[in-house]
Amino acid sequence: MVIGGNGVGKTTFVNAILFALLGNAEYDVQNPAGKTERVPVVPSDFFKGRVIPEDENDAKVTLSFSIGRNQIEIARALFRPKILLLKINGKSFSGTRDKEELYRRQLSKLMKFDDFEHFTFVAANLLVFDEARHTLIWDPERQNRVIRLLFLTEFHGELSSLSERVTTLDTTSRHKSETRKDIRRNITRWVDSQKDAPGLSASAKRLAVDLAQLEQGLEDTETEISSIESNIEEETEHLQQLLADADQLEVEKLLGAKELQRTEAKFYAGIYDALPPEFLVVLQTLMNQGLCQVCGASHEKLKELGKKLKHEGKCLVCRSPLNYSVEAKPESIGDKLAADINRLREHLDNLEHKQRASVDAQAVANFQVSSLQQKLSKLLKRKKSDDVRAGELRIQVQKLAGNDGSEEAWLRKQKEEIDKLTREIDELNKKRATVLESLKRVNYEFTNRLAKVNDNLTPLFSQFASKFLGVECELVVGTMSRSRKPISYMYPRFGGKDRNDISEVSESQRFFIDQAFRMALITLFSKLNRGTTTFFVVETPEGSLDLAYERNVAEMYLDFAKRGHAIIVTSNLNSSNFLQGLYSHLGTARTKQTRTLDLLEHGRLSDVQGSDHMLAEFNKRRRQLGITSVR
Amino acid sequence: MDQQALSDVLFALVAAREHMMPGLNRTSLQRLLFLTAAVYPLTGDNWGYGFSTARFGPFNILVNQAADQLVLRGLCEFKEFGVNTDGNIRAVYRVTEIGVAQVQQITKIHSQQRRFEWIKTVTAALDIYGSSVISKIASKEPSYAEMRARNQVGGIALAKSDNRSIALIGRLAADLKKRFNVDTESVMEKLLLYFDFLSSGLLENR
Repeated sequence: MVIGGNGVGKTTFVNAILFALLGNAEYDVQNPAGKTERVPVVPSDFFKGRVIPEDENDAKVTLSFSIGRNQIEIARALFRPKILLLKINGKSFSGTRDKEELYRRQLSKLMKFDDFEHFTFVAANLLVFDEARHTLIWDPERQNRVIRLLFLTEFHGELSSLSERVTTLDTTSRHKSETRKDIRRNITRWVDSQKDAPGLSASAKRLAVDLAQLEQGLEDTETEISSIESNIEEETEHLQQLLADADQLEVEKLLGAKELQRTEAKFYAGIYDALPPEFLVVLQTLMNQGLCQVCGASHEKLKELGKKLKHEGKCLVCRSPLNYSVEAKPESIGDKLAADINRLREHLDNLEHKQRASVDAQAVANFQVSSLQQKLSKLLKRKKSDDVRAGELRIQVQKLAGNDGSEEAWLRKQKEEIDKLTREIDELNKKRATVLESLKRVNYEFTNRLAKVNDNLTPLFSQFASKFLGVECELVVGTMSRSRKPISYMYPRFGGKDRNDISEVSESQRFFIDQAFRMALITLFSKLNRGTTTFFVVETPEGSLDLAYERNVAEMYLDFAKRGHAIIVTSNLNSSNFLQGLYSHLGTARTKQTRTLDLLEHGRLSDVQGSDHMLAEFNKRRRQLGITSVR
Repeated sequence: MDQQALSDVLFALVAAREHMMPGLNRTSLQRLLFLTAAVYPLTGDNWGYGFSTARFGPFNILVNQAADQLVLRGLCEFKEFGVNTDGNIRAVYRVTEIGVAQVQQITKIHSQQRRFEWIKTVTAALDIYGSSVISKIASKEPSYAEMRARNQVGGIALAKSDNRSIALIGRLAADLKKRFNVDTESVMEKLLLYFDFLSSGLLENR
């Protein structure tokens, strides 16, 4: 626990740990345009203003940690890009020139990452939940990458490489389109200049105007064609996704219907399938007294008959096999079964409602695709005829302008260049389509494997998240499109509703569901890697909580910590139930003390924080939590 | 569908008890449940099992066997019992306290609660005319009446899409509105309008 007040240094402390571990390392993210950018975990100027200027030269951070059985100690200067000390398993690397390179290489090797950037990405996006409050569960791209790096490494290289190739082909195609546009603009400018050329006849001027308009029109048509092709691709993918979802819904419906049938059979068996009480009376009397209660016959031999029928388990009347129990079933089983039936029926009703919505959505998507294809067909026809017309006009304008041939040659060259670029763009688009198909194929396999990861992840996620939410939750695998590339990811479902967008949950829900997701990922990784443990940093979680959830969140953190991971929580020293809940489970007073870094003791307090009244309040709060102050 | 028929008969017997009807025999159970099924599409759902034309009126074999099965399980009992000269059993059934308790258990399932409420609603509507009129009304049900008129045998069409009773209710309500500006908004109003029409003998005069 890192406790303190506003501005006392909690974030500085956490970032000092990260800085010691990672230095100024950066990780790759995709910007909205699909370009890769590098982002630092700890900005290089972070500590400026957080350390007294006189101490800047000497300010350093030293971190000791272990990776498996390997012990690492590292010290960095806060204001210089310099490793002051590096020891790995007791061996010092003080004389080594490029300690940073060595450190990164060693750590990557020990953690079995191909590159230090991979570890940096995982640390920044999974292991730290800072005050930026960036959620991983609702960021499909980052989530996808974390899962590839931790669980599905065999896909990481191929998916990244294919995705980058698609982006590169897109970018190159776009650049060539821009170049083609420029050439067309040049032609239009030349044609415009011809309109004012002396000695040019009215008809020549008219032709020049027509040509200029055609060239502009061609450019607009190219742009529109490109846009429509892109829309068709998106709508087709959307339609394919709808069809896949519809199949999935059908499967869920079948499974739901089967379970409902089984549950109803059990329910009604308790009411209608029990043997009539009279049967047992008749059988017992037959066995014990040799008396038939139905007809009144009485004989010793009837006892044998009764025992025989009981032993053989056959019906007294028709001799069919019987299977019954004489023990009464408790009423609570009937209540539970009735509740299950209601739940299953509601689930099936929801699925049917979704199916109807899906059918409507498919109809709309089909109509969209069809309309777009019709539009595209018309545009392609128009482009073809405009192209031919433009060629004819160029020749006519050239002849009427009566130039010496150099401009004709120039025009011809421009046209050749346009044609060449058009061929290259078509070629690039074809290549892009091929690479995209490969990407989709690999992503399909990835998605199937992700579903298997989810089978193990969902119970863990439910365990953590349900502690917070108080209801059962699960993870669902979905696929979305970003820059026309498929990305598979997981999102939560609870309360019978899919929450695949961050806006579908409240503010406090989103942060703690995200943390539950991260805890589940870490726990699963630990299970699959011989119980390896790690750290998880959460900054001031209580800020996003309402009263109802404070204790639940403390339960969630404690559950995670019991699995052996180091969870570092920063918190303001306040009267929240969250802190109370955590501290009440931390053990003895000594344990509480050793697990607490009280920055109010070590940091620089503001005048308000340092007042007698506030110090007394802080001490009161400490006593409530079971920790003591030395001030 | 066995268990649904058992539950429907149990529901009908509980509804009859609530309306102080003197028990129901097999024939009245058939006709009561047939009429309930005929107008069930007013709720937006399908009844689930059908009835066919038989010598003595609309018939379902599961409904026919249900009451005796319920007696064996102690959920209902014979109020009257006898054997006819032709060897057939003559019985009037009424629900037992155990049967009432089981209905409470079954109606914890929401869909069964809605079904039970519907049976009670129809029973309440028919009770206005008296139990002796139920047979007459059942024989006038449009789908059944038409089949009988044509000497047709087989399943009586009661599904939402083919249901003549529902179509008749729609026409009657529209007519009432058009001629007398009277609205039939509630389900009970529609049922009474329908049963009034069937019991009036107007259909016979067409």
